[in-house]
Amino acid sequence: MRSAHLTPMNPTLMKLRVLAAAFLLVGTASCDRELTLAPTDKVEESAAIVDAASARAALNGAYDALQDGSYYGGDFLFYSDLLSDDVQHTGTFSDFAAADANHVLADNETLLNIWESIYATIGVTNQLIARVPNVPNMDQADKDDIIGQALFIRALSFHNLVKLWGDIPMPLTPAASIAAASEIERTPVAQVYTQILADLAQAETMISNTDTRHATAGAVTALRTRVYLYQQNWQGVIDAADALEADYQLAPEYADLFTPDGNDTPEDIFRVSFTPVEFNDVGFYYLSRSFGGRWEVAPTTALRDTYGVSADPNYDPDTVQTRAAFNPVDPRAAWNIAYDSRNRIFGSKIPTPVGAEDIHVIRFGEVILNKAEALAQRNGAGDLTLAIAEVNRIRARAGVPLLNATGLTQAQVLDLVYRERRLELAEEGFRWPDLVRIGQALTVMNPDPANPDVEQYELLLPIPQADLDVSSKLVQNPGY
Amino acid sequence: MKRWRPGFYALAVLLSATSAALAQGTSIRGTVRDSASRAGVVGAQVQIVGTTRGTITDSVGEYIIRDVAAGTHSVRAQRLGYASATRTVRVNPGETAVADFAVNAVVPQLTEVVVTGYGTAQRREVSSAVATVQAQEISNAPVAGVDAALQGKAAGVQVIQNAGNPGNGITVRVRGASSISASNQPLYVIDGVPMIRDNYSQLDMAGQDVTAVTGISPDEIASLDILKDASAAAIYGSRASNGVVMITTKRGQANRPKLSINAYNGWQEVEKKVRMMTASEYVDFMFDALLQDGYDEADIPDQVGFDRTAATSTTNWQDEIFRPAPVRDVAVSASGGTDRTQYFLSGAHFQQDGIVIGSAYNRQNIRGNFDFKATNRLSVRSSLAFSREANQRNENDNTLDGVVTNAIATAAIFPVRHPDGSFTSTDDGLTYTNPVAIGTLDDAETRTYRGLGNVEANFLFNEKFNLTGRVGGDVLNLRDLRWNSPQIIGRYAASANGVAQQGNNTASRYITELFGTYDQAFGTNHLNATLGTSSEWNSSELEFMQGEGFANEAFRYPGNAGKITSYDGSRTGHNLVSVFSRANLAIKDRYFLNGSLREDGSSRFGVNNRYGIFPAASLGWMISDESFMSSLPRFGDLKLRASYGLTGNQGIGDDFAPLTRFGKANYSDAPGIAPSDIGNPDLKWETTAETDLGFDLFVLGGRVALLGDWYNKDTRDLLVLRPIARSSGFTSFWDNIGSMENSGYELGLNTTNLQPSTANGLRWTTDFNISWNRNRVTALYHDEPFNSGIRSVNRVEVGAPIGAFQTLVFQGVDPQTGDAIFKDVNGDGQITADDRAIVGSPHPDYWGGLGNTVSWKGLELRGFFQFSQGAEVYNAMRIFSGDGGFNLDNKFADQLKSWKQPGDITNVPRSSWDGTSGADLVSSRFMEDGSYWRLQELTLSYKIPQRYARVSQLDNASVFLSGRNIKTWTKYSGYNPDVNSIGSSANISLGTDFYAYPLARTWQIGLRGDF
Repeated sequence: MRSAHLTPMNPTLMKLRVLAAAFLLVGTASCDRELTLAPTDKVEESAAIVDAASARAALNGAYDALQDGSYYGGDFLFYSDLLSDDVQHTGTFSDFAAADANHVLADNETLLNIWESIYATIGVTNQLIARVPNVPNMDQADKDDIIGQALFIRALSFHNLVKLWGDIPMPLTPAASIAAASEIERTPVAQVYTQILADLAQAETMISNTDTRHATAGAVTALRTRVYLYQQNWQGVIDAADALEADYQLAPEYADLFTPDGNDTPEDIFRVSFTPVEFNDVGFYYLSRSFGGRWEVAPTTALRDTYGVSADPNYDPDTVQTRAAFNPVDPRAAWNIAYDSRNRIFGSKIPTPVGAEDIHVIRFGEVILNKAEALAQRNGAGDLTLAIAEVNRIRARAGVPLLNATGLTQAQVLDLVYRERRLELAEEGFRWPDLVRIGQALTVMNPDPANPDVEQYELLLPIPQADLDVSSKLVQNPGY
Repeated sequence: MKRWRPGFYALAVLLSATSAALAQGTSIRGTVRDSASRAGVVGAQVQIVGTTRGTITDSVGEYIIRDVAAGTHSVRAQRLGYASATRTVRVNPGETAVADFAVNAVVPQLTEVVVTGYGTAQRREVSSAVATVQAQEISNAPVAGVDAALQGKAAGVQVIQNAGNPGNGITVRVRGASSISASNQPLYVIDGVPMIRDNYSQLDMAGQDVTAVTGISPDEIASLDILKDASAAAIYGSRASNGVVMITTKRGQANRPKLSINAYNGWQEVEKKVRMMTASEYVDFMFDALLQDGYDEADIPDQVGFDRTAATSTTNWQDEIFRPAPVRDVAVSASGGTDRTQYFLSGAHFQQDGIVIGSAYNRQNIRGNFDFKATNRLSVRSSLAFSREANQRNENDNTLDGVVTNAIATAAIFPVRHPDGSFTSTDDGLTYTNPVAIGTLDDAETRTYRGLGNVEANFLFNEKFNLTGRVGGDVLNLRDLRWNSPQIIGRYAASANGVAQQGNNTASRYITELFGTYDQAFGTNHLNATLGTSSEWNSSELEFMQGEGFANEAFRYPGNAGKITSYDGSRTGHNLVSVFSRANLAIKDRYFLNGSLREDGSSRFGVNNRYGIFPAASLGWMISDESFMSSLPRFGDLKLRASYGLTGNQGIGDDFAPLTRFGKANYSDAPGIAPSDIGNPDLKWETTAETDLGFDLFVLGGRVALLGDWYNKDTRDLLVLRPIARSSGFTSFWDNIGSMENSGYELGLNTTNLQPSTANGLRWTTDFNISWNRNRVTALYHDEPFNSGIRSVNRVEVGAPIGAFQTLVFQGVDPQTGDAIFKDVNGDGQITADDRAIVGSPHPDYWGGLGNTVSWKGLELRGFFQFSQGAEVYNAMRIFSGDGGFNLDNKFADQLKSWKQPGDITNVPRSSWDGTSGADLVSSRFMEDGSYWRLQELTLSYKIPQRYARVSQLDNASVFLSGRNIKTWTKYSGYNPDVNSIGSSANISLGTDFYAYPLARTWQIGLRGDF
C-alpha cells in the first residue's frame, strides 16, 4: 500500500483498472432493478385505474366487453334464439347446430365463450366498483356516474346469466388470486335477483349520463321492468314502465331502429355501439351469401308464418317459399325476413354484413310489451283492455291492424301479448328466455310430447365443463 | 442483488490483486502448437529436462517459465494425445528466450478443441456430451441456414426441414422435444453471444415461417459445437434445456495475407412431383362418385359444375408452378496478420431462387473479426457481422390461397389462362384461386437487416489468472411488405381492390459479460475454474399496417390505400441477469471432474421465483490409462463419462406473465382498458434433469473413433397456459404443470478405412452417426389429454409421445359395399369420434447420417446419406385429394384404384359424392410411413496441381461438382417425408404434410482457392 502509491503506476494498468471497474459496474447495476420491467402495451392492475381519465377508460372497457362477439356482438343473441322455435341453424358451426337441436353439452365451445364473455364483462365492472371509490382527486359526481354505470352493466350481466343458467357464481369483487377464483360456488337464483335489484337501486341514483350508447338512469328503470317481469312482480313492472313514459316514445318506423349508421331514435334506451372496426357478427351471420353474409343462422318458417304471410287468400305456406311469393302483410316480417335468389330464407333485420349497426339491449318497445304482459297478469279491473291498448301501440307503429279487446279472456290476452312480443323482438335474443319464463318452452318445442326434443332439464344450460374442471365447488345443473 | 454480492466481491478482489509482478528475470517463453492445425495446445506441460521447473500452457497455448538459470537448457513439451517434443534453448542472463513447439497429435480427436461456453477445452478433458461439426462438413450446402446444413451431421441432433422454400424456418431438436408451450429450439450462441433465433415476421404465411437463424452465413463459420447434455449446457442455465449450438466464426492467423474465394453456381429442380389425376381420370372419378351414390348421369353436371366434355384438355398444374431455378453463392475472405494483430474479413452473397414461381431468397453478409494484442497481457478481439436478407415468400400449406396448395387442389380440367392471356379464376369454375395467378401477381417480401457481434478484452494477470470482459449485441430489423393483388378473382383482396400489409419489427439483444478464469497445474493435476457474470437486455418493437383499396397496382404500400383497416404498434422486452461458475479438475490427466453452477434471474418470472439455480456435474475417466489396463495389450484410448445436471427453459411468448394487467379495450372510438391477463407471481422455469452416460473410444491411433451416449431427460414444471374459472373474468394463466421425458442412445463412429502412407495416396474415411430417442408425456394438467393440428389429429396424452397421431383406425375396404371399415374401438356398435386411437407418431425411432470420403491424389469424392426411420407422416392433403370425391379437389392418381363393384379387393374405398363410404373421414388411411434414406450430398472435387495453380496465382485451388437431395428412398407418396406444414414453431402439430413446398434437387459447380 505505502510504496505502491508512491510509485507511478503503469498507465496501461491504470486504464485496465478503469476498464475492469466499468465492467463491474455494468454487472452490478443489474439484478432486481433490471429484472423488474413494466409492460409497455398493457398496464399493471395497480396502475390501471388511478385518475378520472383512466377510470373513464376502464368504464369504456366494460362496454367493450359487451361488444364481444360472444356477447351482444353475436353468440349470446344467436344462442338465445337458436334454442327457440324462431331461429334455425343453416351454416357449418357444429356448436350452433347443437343449440338448434337443444342439445347443448357442457363441453360446447360456444357456450363456454358466451359464459366467458359475460363474466369478463362482470370482471371489468367489479374492478370499477372496487377501485373507483379510492381514486384520488376525482369529482364525486363523476365517480358516481362511473360506478352507477358499472352497477347497471353488472346487473344486466347477472340477469343474462341467471335467465340461462339458474344458480350462478356471483363474484362481486375482483379475483384476489388464482386460488381464490377457483373457490367460487353457485349463488341461488333468488339471491342473484336480490343483488341485481340492489345494484339497480344504487345505479339509478348515481348515473348522470344521458347518452343511450352508455347506461342512463332510464336504462336502469327499463331493466327493472324486465327483471320484475322475471320475478312476476307485475306491479313493479307497471310502475317502472310508467316512470319512463315521459322520456321515451316509439320510433316512427320499425326500420329506423336498425339503420347501418345507428341513427338516434326516441325509442332508444340502451344500445351497444358498433362501428366498422368494432363490429358485431349479427348481420354477417344472418344475411345470405349473396348479400355478403355467411348464412350461419336463419329465421324459421314457423316465425315467418306467425307474422301472417300474405293477404292473398290462396296463400299456402307449405308451397310458397320463393322470393317472389314472399309478400307478408306485416311490414316487420318484410324487414326481418327475406329470400335470396336461390329461394333460401334468411334473416335481414340487421341490413348489412359490416356489423356497424348498434344493437339494442333495451328499447322502449320492449318496455311497453313488458307492461302489457304485467297488466294482463295482474288482471285487475280493466287491466286486460289496458294490456291490449299497450299491444296496439306496438301494432300501430308496425302498421298492422289493431286488436280489439272486447270479450277476450286473460289467457287470450296473454297469448296476444306473447305473440306480439315474438313478432316485435324477433332475432333480438328474446325468444328462448321468454319461452322458459312463461312456461311454454316444453309445449312449443315438443310438438310431439311422446317424443320430446327438449327435456325439462334442458330448460337450463349446462355450466361449462371448463369451469367445473377448475372449480371444485361448482355443481353441474341436474341432467347434464 | 444482495444475494450475488459474494460473486462480485470475489471478482473485485481478484481484480484488485493485480500483482505489479512485472519483474523481469531470466525466463523462457513460447507457444505450443498443434502441428496440423497450428492451434495452440492448451494445458501442455513444458518442463526443463532434468529439473522440476516447468509450467502448463494457457488457453492459447502460451507459456512462460520464470527465473531460470542462464545457460543452455533442454526444454520438453508434452501433452497426452501428442508425441512429446524437446528443444534446446540458450538463455542469456536477464533476457527471455523463446522456445516454440509444434507437437504431433497421436490421436487427433483427443486434441480437438471443443467450445464449451465461456471457454474451450480439449476433447480429452471433456466429460460431457458435446458434438462437434467442422466447417467443411457444412460448406457449400445450398441452403440458407446453418440449421438446415446441420441435418444428419451430429448424433442426437434432429433437423426437420419442414418445407423446401428458400430461407424456410427449420426445426431442430437436440435430444427430443421437452416442452408443450415453450420453445423447443436450441439456444444458438455465436462467438459467445446468444443469438436472436425466433420468427419476427408478422406475415401469416401458414406454416412457412422464417427464423432469425438464417442471418448467419455458413461461409463464415469455422466450427459448431453442440452442447447436448445438461452438464455441458447448464452453464447457459435457464435457456439450455433444448441444447446449445455454439457457433465459432473464422478468425485470422498470424500469417501472410491470404485471399480466399469460395463460389458455386447451382441449378435446382423439384426433387419429385406427385402424380395427380389427369382431366379425363378426374372427370371419370367424379362421375363415378355420383353414380355410386345413385345419381342419374344426366343430373351430375348440375351437381359438379362440369360435364364429360371437360375431360378433353388437361392442365398439369404442378408443371405450371415449378420451374428450374438457379442458386449461387460467392464468398470472399481476406485473412492474415502478425503476432500482434490478426484479421479475418469476409463478404458473401447467397442467391437462391425458389423452384416454385414467386419465391426467392438472397442474403449478403459481411464480417470483420479482429484479434489485437495490445500488450503482453491485454488482448482485444472483435467479431462483427452485418447481413441483409430478402425473402420473397408465397403462401403454401394451410391456406386457401397457396401456390403449391392450389396446384395440387385444382382439377386438371381447367386451363391456366383464358385465350386472351388473362388468368382463369373461380368465375370459370376453379374450386380455388388460380395458383399461377397467386405466384405471379402476389408479392410478399420479408427483408432483414442485422448487425451481430461483440468486442471482448482479455487481460492476463499472470499465467494462472485471466479476466475477460465482453460486450455484444444482436440487432435486427425485419420489414414485411405484402401485396395481395385485386386481379386474383375469388378472394377478399379482389372485392377490397387490393390489400397491402407493411410490418416492421426491431428486435435487439445486448449483453455484457465479465468472467475470470483461473488455471493452475499441481504436478500432474490441473485445475481450471471460471467465475463470471452476465447481463442481457432483450426487446422487440413492432409496427403493422394494413391498407385496402388501391387506385392501381403500382401502389403497394398501405400509405397509398383508400383506407387503413388494421394497425398495430407495441413493444415488449425481457432481461436476464446471471452469475455462473465452473471448475474442471484433471487428476493425473486421467480423472476429469467438472462442476458448474449458474444462477439466472429473469424478468419473465414473478418475484417469488425470479431466480433459478442450475447445477451440473460430470466425471470423465480415462480408463485406458489405468495401470490395471496396462497388463492388457494396448487397444487404444477409452474414456468413460457420466454426468447429471439441471437446465431450464423460459421460452414463452409472454414477457409479463407474472403480472395482472389491463389491456386496450376501446368502445365507440374512445380509448378503453379492461383486465386482460391474470398474473401468476409463482411462475418459474421449466426444469430438465438430465443424466448422461457415455464413452469415447479411440483405437488404432484414432483411425477408429467411437463415441456413444445414453441419456435420460426428465422435464418438469412445464410452462402451459392453464385454464382458470371463467367467473373470475379471465380465461387462463401461465403455470408450471406437467412433465415430459426423453431418453435415448447416440452413437458416432468415425473411421479411417484406408490410411495412405503418402500425402497423395488413397484415403477413405467414413463418418456415421445414429440416434434413438423416445419421447413420452408423463404428466399433464389433471392428466387431461388434448388435441391440436389439422383436424385435431395431434394428441398430447400421458404415456404417448407429444403430438402422436390420433384418428379412426382404418381396417380396409368392405369388398361387398366398398365402404371403409373402421375399428369400433369402444365397442358401442357405432363409429364416432370416440373410436379414435393412437395410430402413429411423428417422431422417428432413429435417425442419423452416413458420410464417406475417398481421396486420391487431388481427387476427392464425398457422399453423404441422411436417414430417418419409424416416423409416420400425416398426409393431410388426402382429406381433400383422397376423399372419394366428397370435395371437388383434384385427386391423387392412386385413388383410381377405388372400389368399383362388389367383389373388388382394394384399399381405396368406394367413391362417394355424398361422403357415405367413409373415404373422406380422417383415419389411419391418411397416415403414411415417413421413413426415408436420402442421398443428401455427392461431391466430386479436384485439387488443381500447384504447377497449374501457380500460373493463376492460386494456392490450394480446387473445383467441385456437387449434388444435393439427389435421391430419396421412401414409401411416402407426397413430395417429401421430412415435412411439417405447421412450421418451425410447432411443438405439438408435427409430421403433417398439408401442401408443403417440396424440396429442390440441386446440382452445383464451384471453385475454391486461396490467392
